[in-house]
Amino acid sequence: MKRLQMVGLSGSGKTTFLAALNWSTRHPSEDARLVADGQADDTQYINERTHEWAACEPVEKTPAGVHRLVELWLRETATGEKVTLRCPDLSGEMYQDHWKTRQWPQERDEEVSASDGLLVFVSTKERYLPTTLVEEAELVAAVGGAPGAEVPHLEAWAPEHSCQQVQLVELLQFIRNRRGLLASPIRTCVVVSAWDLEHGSGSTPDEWLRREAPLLWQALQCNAEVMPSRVFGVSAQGGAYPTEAERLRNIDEPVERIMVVGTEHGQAAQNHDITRPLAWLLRKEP
Amino acid sequence: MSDLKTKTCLQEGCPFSTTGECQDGFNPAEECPHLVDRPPAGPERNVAESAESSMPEPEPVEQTVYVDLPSGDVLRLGDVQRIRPASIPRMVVLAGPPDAGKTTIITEIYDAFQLGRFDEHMFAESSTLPAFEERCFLNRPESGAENPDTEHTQPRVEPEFLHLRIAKVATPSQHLDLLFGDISGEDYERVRNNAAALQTMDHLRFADHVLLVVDGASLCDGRRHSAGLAAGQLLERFATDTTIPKDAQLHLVVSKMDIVEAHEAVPRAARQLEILADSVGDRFADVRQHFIAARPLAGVPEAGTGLEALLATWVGYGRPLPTEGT
Repeated sequence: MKRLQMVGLSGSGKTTFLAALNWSTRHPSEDARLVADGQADDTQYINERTHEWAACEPVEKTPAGVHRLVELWLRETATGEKVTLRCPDLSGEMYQDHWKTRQWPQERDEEVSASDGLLVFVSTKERYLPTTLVEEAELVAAVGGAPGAEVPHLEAWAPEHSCQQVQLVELLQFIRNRRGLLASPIRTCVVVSAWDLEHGSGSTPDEWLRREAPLLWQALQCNAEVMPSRVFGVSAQGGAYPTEAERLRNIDEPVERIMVVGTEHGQAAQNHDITRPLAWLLRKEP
Repeated sequence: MSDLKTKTCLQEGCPFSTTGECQDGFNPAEECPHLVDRPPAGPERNVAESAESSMPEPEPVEQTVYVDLPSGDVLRLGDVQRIRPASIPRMVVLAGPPDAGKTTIITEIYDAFQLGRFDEHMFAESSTLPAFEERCFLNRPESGAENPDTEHTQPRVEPEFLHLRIAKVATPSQHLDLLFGDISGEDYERVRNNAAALQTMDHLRFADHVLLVVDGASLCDGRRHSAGLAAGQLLERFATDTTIPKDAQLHLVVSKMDIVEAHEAVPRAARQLEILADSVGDRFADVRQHFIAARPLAGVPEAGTGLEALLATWVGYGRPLPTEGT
């Protein structure tokens, strides 16, 4: 059994990815690397999310404080090897709680220690960089504004004030820390979701991460020995809802809505195979 | 499908009774542990009473066991082992009067990594991310501050350290741990005024790099003579005492160079550092001079000017390890 951890803050696209993955493995394209091989005992949650995805309806966000375990039974097409994916689908708020409270449940510790791979979700729709006052002043000046005349009321720092990339870097540090120095390396796939919004900009997913979340990108580069990583751009929906829902529903094969952009043999590669990030995670070669 | 007629929720305010939805997000709502059977129809009773009288014996709630994660707090001398050093950590001590810009230098280095500004160095890890975030907060709109600022470092009983693990871009897997001593200017004023105060600064014994920060703004107005005197006095304390290792590197730093340049006081700043450098002779392994604009208020020059060169000197030198018998 292969266990994967999904990490990502609120709105980063974890559940939508799972729903699209479930559909894709049950309706695989010719070049799919992973296909469904039976189904787990309890599939109600993932089935409901998959139906939402198939109908081009917004996939229900995992409620705050809720922890769902999604189990997918798969088979690698190249080798025939059976793979059971256990993905805890935690709400993004729970990951933010870890940053704030500096604690997590014992079972989370066990999941992290036993994980074979890590999916880190970020989204082109979110901001990961901090905003500085210098930058804000420049923006205000650029639009011809002027500083406010009110006496400022100063807030005290609280963890929720920190930008998203710091929280993600700390989560990865927690994972490395709890796995310990002697643990085997854990492959880490960064999924840049809502890639349809960035597609056409000319940036690769790796370049996007370096530009939009430089602290996270640097931390991955520097820790490649214990966390070998790769970045994929994924649009699990294929476009925005509801504006593009009609167009997407008219695509005969729903898997063709999906866009996956990554690097294969040093070259940028794009197709509809949402199993590619997982296939890389499960692979033993670089 | 949720059966509104036969079930009810014990939680106050739950909309289940009217909409069939569970306020805790269970879907289907039947999975919610607070859902119970309504009592059978009979003599009219208050629904709440009915629910209470038919309330099942509460099952013992399994307590969630939590694991503590690293606190992210500042480090103290005894905490250095917590960071699992990739290498012998290099200690960088920033000394100088209050408001010279010592903590701002540290926070702007951190922000430079956050914003991907450095060309030659990368961030690998930090054991004190929340501590950095707290110190950067007055440069964030969320703080409510109008102008970028850094919270004043308060005098403390024990010195506190911030941690960064970094690497060169060319060799990302080779890490170096830097510990930054975040000590208040008031503590250094005590040292300047009283040699005995130096004995309370035990951390100086481990310093690889000591920065004497001269407030560039003070060189531009009537304070310039006393600023030079104070810097010289503090440096003399460091030089004549044996607390700071002889093989530590000394860095003479003028901060706020944006203000210095605006007042056309660059030659004065350079002369001040020359005077200080001449005063210490060969007391230290090396003496470097730096002109820094860590966070220019007007955005000119670019934020972090001079910081990567400063960082490079820390990366390039660490005190030799003591040999056996010494």
